[in-house]
Amino acid sequence: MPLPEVYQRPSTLAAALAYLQQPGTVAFSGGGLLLAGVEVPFRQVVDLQAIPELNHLTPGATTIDIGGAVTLAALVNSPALPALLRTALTRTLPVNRCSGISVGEALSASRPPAEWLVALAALGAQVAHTGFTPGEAAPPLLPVETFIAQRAQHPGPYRGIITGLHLPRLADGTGTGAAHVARTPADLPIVCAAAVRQPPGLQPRLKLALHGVSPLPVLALLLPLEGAPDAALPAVLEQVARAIQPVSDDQGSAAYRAAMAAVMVRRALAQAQSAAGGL
Amino acid sequence: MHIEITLNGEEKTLVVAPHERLLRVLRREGCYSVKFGDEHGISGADLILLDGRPINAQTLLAAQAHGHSLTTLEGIGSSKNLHILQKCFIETGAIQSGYQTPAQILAAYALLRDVPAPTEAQVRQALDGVLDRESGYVKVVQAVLRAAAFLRGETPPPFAPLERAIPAPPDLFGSFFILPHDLPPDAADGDGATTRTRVVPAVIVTPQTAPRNRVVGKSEPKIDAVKLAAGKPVYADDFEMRDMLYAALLTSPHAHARIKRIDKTKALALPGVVCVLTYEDVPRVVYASGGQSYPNPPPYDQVSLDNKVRHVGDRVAVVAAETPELAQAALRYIEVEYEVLPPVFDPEAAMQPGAPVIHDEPDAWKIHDASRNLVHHIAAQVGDEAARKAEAEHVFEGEYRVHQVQQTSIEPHIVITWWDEDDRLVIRTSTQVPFHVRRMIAPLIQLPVKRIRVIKPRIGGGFGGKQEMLIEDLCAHLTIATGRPVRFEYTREQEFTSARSRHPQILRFKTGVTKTGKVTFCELYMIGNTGAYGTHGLTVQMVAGFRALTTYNAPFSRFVCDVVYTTIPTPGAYRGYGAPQGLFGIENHFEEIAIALGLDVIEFKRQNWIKQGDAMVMAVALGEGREGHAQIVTTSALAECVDLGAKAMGWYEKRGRSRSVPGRPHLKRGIGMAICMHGSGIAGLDMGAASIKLNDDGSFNLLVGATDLGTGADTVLAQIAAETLDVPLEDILIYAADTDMTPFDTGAYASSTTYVSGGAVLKAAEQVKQQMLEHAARHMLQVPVEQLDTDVRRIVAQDGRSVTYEEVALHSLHQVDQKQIMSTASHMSLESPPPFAAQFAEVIVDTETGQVTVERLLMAVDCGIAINPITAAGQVEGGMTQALGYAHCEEMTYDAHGTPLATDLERYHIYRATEMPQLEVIFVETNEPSGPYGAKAVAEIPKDGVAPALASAIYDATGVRLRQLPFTPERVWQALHSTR
Repeated sequence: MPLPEVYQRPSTLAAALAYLQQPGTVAFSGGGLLLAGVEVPFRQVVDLQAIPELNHLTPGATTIDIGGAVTLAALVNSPALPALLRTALTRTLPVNRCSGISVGEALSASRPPAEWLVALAALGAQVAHTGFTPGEAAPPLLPVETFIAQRAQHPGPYRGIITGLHLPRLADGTGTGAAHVARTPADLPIVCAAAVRQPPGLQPRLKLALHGVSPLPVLALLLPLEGAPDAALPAVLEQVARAIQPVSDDQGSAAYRAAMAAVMVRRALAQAQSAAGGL
Repeated sequence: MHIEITLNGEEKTLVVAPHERLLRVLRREGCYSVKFGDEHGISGADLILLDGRPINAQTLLAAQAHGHSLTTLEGIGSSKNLHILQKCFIETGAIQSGYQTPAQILAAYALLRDVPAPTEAQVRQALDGVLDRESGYVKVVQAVLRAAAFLRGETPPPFAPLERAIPAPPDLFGSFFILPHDLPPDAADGDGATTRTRVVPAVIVTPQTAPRNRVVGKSEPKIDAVKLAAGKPVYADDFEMRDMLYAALLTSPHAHARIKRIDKTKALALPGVVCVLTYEDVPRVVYASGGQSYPNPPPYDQVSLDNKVRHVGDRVAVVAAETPELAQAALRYIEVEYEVLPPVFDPEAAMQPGAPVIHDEPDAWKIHDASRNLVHHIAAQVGDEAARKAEAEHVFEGEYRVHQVQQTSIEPHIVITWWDEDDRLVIRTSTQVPFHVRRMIAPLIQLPVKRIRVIKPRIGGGFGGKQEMLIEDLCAHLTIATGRPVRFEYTREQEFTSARSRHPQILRFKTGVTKTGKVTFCELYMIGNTGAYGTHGLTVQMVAGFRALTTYNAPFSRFVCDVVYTTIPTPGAYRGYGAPQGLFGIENHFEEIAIALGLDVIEFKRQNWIKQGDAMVMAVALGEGREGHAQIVTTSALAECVDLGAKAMGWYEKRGRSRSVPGRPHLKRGIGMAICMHGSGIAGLDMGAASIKLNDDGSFNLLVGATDLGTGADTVLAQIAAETLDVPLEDILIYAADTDMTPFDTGAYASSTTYVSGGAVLKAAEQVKQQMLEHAARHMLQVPVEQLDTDVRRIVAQDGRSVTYEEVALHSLHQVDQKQIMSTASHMSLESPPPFAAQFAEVIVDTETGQVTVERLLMAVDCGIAINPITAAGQVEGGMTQALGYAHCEEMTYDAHGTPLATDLERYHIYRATEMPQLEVIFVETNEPSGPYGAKAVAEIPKDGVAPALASAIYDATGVRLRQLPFTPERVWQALHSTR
């Protein structure tokens, strides 16, 4: 039967993991994505809302640690987080939907919020989770883009628990930028990109992330950035062109997506440079 | 399991099932303001506050709410104690169908609690999660800003929407002088600076010949606004019955297949599953599902359940079970073995020899050529072909393509059926056509009409999608089979796969023009894709041809059309009914001609558009499914609409100027325009009736068969009655659309309600008034009736004596010559006077991506006299917004197997509050002699002009012509690149 028969609300992560060992069980928090549909094909659902270690948002010295059960609304309302991350949510996700979707749910969904995912990848966020199958040993922290790639290897509902998201603190002078193309101002992006450029004094590098240009929801590139930014752009675009694998669908052909990848990267990079003080 | 919650301030312990959604539990607790719009929470109809935060109740398990505090609209205000937000929603005309109103008010409530002085942008952000398919968000935003001012303790001036406040000077028609932007700040809406929105209020320019009325022409609040603002249970689903079953529909996964075997044994074996019906269980009766007048236009090519499926989403079997979840679960236990047949999606391919034959059943009736999938072949021409072609010095051809879109009312199709105490079948359904449903369903369920009652409650939007007998037959079959009440509601996915939509078309024009720019002939060949079934296929294409050709009324006009079956979900009626398609083609085509000839676009159109006094050349040849009636344009302010709109937009200062956004040379600005012409009902076909009776206290019951979809039609009809009977609006008690209780009406479609049903109300009211005058003259005042008149609830004699309506009522009911003063009247018109409009648009085109951003839409409309300007303005604003989606982003797309790809409200994107362009409405009134109090129609014309106006604006910005909808980034980008 595609309907939950048992609802659990554990107060510890250990208890939640114990429930997950039982067949036909899924853990979740929020529900705005998992429960969006006619059927929920699990016998038992484990609600993570009462587990304290999954419900914190803690700005630390080097990272901002976010529990997997924290809602996207809490991210939008947190001034500690980079504006890049917050605006990536508000353009396409209204407040009522953000209130009903948790960080863990968004990351493990079949269609994660694209611009948010791209922003996370560009910012170098890492995911802590308990593995893709119940009983699996918890893997090490994974970059968001790696987690998403591994998630794609496990089709169907996610069967673990995302315990946290760790966001590196941006050094002063770091430049961030984002760009998207969509049918309308609040529509889902066809292609979007985010760029984070290290400030002067550190090893010059650029973290780029894109959506809509590969079979996976996000494509991330870490590129050295040598020389003046304008001069570096052709090399960046060349590397992007080599990395992308766009796929045609009803929203855009592969050729269009490839062309947009270049435009989006150029715009995101320009914005990042401008934000960083015209590096 | 038990959960403990605080619901609207009251602590409650509830028993819920682990799988139950919070939405369902809240409704069970009587919180009917919380609505179902979709399974994903994207519509926002299910918005509630959880611990004060807006959240979607449909995507929460009830169990998740344990320990939390929940607030629904019922916890904020009631009809007897309205919250200021509710009052402002009523006052500003923000409520149309009201289906989304509770969610909008809750979202605003949460905002204003945290942000007492919000900006307009903050208000729009707060409302962003509640899709509004009706209003264009204009008045909703205005309502929230106004409520915010009250809550801050300010005293904004009384809300005073314009009520025909700008009379026309003697030289107005031909020389306009006043523009919206000429108005002094705040004068129009009465709001202070703190409650301004970017919305410019409607301006009404009234001809001096228009009569001054007491009720008609006033922006009266909708008569149903209080109950809608309070979230009362008024919709089809807000209704409980003991022992009710829940239905679910199994649909086809194949675009074209024959059912070889179907086995329902396992489904029936599930505990709680009561009934499963397949084609083996119901009578095979062919019918046409379009809600149209008798006899329904052919073909008759559907049966309730068939052994063949013709599109993904077609009907296979229907289940009734004790819970909705069980009904859904049972679907997967029905075993179906299909013989998959080749599909065909392209209408041109479907017409070719050797194409798969979609309707090979022997009992289908009146298909033109089933072997070629040709449903209809239409050919009509008027005028002297040889002479007119000889006059043409230039001949232009153009092909335009329009796509398939869905009506997307936020309330899905929903029906509840049951046997009443007299063993009559009652059908409570969200329909635009209750009387058609009763007549059409009777043979399918093999009951006589007299044993069927159809009740139309309030409707959460229709837009033509509910001008169809779509699901009522299946629900009725289940009630007949089980003897129990059955509730059947489409899922949001089924709204896309198994409901109706707008016809895709290919339009090929050929037009001859003299060297002075006079059009001598115009020919249109059209291919209409009617999908799997022919419902509305004939009439939509005929209307498309009629509107396209009549707008410029060439002396030789020819329309040839092939209506073709394909294996896509079936199109049907959708607000505009062919006109948006036809006008996209003709307006693009005529602009191209003007540019090719080096003529000013507006002047070229002006030279050729149909004018007051002109006969519509195709009116007789192209009726709706039958021969039409001769039509002459009796009123038109089209020229004035164009001139006023052009001035308001700065057309002549902007058009043709190369304009970029400063500092961003890849962003090009453009301005565009289109003209529009529609109709007011179907001449010689649409009929409405109304009954009015006088009550003891001098009030009146008004019974109409007309169907208010949220348009404000009930209010407009009541205003017509109140004006005629000379009473305040509050003295009219309207009851609508119940086949047992109200007189007949064809229903809410074809822009007919104000003009046709309003005509019936006018007649009935005049007759009742005359009866009152005669009773008073003969039995109370003893004077000739000619010496009496009315004056607000009184009958007054020339000598100054008077009696009140209450006295007349009591006297006539109880004292002398006792009788019920009442009358029933019907109205049908052989005329369908066209409303006219000029649509303007401004856009920014990103030339690097092809993304189009629409900045501003303005429509100047001649709808005759606007009976209720504020509801009329809401119709135009909402219609333009729907039309914007049609032109810009909405599209039903399919994979290679014919499976729809956009089946939720995220992929099928509807414009949201934060992304709206500036919307402006100008009414230029005319006094239509055939309409009630000078009225014509206003409901559909806003759908007609946005697409061609955007094409015009994109051309102005970039120099590229887009001949295919919608204007997606890639389509624009490809066009830009193909010209380089």
